[in-house]
Amino acid sequence: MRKLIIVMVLMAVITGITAQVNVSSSYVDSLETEMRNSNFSYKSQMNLINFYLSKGYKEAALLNFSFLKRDNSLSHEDLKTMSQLEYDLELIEKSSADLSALYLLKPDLDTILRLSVLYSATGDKEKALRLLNRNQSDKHDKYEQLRNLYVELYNNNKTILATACREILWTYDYAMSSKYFVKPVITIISPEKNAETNSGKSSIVFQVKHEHPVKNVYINNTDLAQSESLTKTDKEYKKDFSYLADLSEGTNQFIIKVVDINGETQTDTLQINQFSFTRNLAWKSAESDTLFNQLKRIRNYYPEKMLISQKDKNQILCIVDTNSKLNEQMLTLFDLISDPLTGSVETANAKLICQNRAVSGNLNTYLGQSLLKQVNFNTRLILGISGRWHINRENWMLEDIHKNQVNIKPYIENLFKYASSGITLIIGGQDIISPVMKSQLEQMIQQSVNPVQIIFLNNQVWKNSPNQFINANIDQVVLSYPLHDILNGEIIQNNKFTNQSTLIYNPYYPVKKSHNELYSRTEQKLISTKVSDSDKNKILNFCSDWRRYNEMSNYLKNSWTLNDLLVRVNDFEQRQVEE
Amino acid sequence: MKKTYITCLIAIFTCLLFAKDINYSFNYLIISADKVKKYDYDFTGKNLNTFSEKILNAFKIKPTSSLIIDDYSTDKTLSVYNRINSFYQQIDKENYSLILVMGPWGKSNKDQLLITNSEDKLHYEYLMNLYEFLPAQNALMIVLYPSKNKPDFSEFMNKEGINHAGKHLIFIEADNEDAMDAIKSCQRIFEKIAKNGTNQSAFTITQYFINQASNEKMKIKAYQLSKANDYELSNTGVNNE
Repeated sequence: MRKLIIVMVLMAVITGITAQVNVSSSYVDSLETEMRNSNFSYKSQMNLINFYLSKGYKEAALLNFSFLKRDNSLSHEDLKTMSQLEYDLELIEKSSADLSALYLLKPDLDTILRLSVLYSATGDKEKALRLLNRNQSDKHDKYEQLRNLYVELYNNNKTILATACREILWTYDYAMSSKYFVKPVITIISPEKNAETNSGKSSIVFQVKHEHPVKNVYINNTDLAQSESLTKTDKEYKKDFSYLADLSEGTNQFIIKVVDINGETQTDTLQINQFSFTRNLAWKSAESDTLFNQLKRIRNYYPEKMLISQKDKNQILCIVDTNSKLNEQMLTLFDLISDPLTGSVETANAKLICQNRAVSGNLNTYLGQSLLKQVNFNTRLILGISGRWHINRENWMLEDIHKNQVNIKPYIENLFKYASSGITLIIGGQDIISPVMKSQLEQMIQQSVNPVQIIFLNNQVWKNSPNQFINANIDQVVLSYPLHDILNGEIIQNNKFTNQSTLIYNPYYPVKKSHNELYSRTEQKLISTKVSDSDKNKILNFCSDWRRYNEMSNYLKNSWTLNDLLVRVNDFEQRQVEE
Repeated sequence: MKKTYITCLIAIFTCLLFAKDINYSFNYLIISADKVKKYDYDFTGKNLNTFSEKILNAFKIKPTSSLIIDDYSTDKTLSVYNRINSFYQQIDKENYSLILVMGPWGKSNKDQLLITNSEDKLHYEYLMNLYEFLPAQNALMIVLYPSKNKPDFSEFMNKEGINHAGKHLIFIEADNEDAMDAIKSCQRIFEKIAKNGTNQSAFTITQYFINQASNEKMKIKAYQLSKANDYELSNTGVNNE
């Protein structure tokens, strides 16, 4: 029963709404019939126009006004309504003709002000000013009335007329306009302009202060004023805004724009650089894959902390490649120098700018600003750059991935000045054998008070595959190799560069060292616990392999008994026989 | 030599091809101040109609609209503002408009007024705005006044000199209080235009008027209010009527 009542009520509502529409449409029909019957009398046409106006159909009303005007001269009131409609719809030409007629019928200041705005909108500012100045009303009153008209136009989104009105206000009385059109004040509290972060988000905090109420507070395209309005103190409107911004890699620009209720606008720009530039594992290189597989294998048998290579906190690495032929090898160079197991550079201090990152914006901002800020008297910088170069005496232009050119020369000159503890510059790519660049660099390093080493890469980055140095089967396992020894290139350096060579660590060195120690301790324990010779030999033979870290450790820590160890050895031998 | 002839022929042919009579429509408005005891000025009725005829003869075209205002009595069906508005409504961009305002000026507070008994006061501001609002791109407004009761038109100070077609403005100062010396000179100039005028542009009419005024030793000030494309007058010396 209830359901039935609800359905009936709904039907009644729907019928009511439909009927309203029908009444409207039939009412128009009846008004049109009345017009025809009265031979299109002024009154009957005005009835239809007034109906449209009451419904807010401005365009329909205006259309009928123009029919009416064709054969009749409009009364002052009707002409006023019509010209107001044209003004609202920003029909500049029609509106100026009808407002002029309105003025000639009954001159008044309001019409003159509106007309001067229209002339300003058509670009005839001189005429607009003549109309304003010719009127004998008090200048201040005229300004105030025109200003009110501007506020009305602006708040009703009459963009063309509001802009024209604002222009004429400034031209008419500059002093008054300077007082009235005060710009809102934006104070960025944090972060600093050109701030840098490795994070994907940053909180932007800023304050807005203004004499007049504020309508919009945009940060890029988001309007913060929609949810948070400014509070009024005695003298001004004020509020602190906080916005959590998503950052993409590279330079992020944020434009803060504040618009007050009068259309007065103030903007400030904030740049946040997200220069994490970490290794993107989607970027592949065959040598890096081999390297990672080897390191993964070692990590499977030995705890990470035992394997970590010696780090130099003052070392900074930056590898740049703008899609050169050396791209893959430069990736491996980055991996070798920055990997926790092989490199001397801490991961956070290593930046890789290649593929889509290698654009002029990033190169200019990172090399020209960010990197320069980081270097100091302790810094040891390793900077590798490969790409297509265009060299002349003044500029060393490096082509980015979009073929935009970046002048690297001033950046290198500055880095040579400030990285006091040493610089290793690795340069590769097409056109690199430029005698100009080479002779200039030679001159620069001789003049430099800091240790500098430059490696001009040949067609390959490596003399031999770098993976061959990371191999458990080599006879003499060494702790590290100087980078310049494994790079394939011509080296020049100044006499200040002595022991600053970058080292590539061999992760098998700590492995071998640890293994030797564990092996000898295991042997001692087997002897001291009087294990039979056959079992001892079997166990020692099994443990001679570098991979037996866990087994020996467990046995030495007594986590495993001798039997446990023997079971493991027997199991291994059994599997070997089967294989 | 042959080449020169051919070039000349081509040039003449091109000129003939593109030359065409532009239908030039004309309208005029004459406003003359009212007769007030205090002032000697009295130029209404018959006199004004004669002046109007001289203007018509000068242009030799039937005007599309015309209006003479010299009667400001309140029992008129239409007020002055209404009559001016009706005149304004009939003018379009292609028209050539002539406005003649004659008579002494007075002051009421800061406002300058043409001396009339009308309820709708003919302020300087109103008349100048009327001229500004006229849609006609080519127009001439002549304001003729006695030296003792003149309007302040200093607002046009930086617009002196007529150099282009467009809206022109000429202020004529009469020596006598009744302004008849200037009115008569004006009439003579229009008579001369009627005799000499052939295919004159709106611009050349103004220039002719200024030259003749200088010959007549009239005190005039001429201003260029706005610029427009020059329209040719098809004043062929034949009365269209």
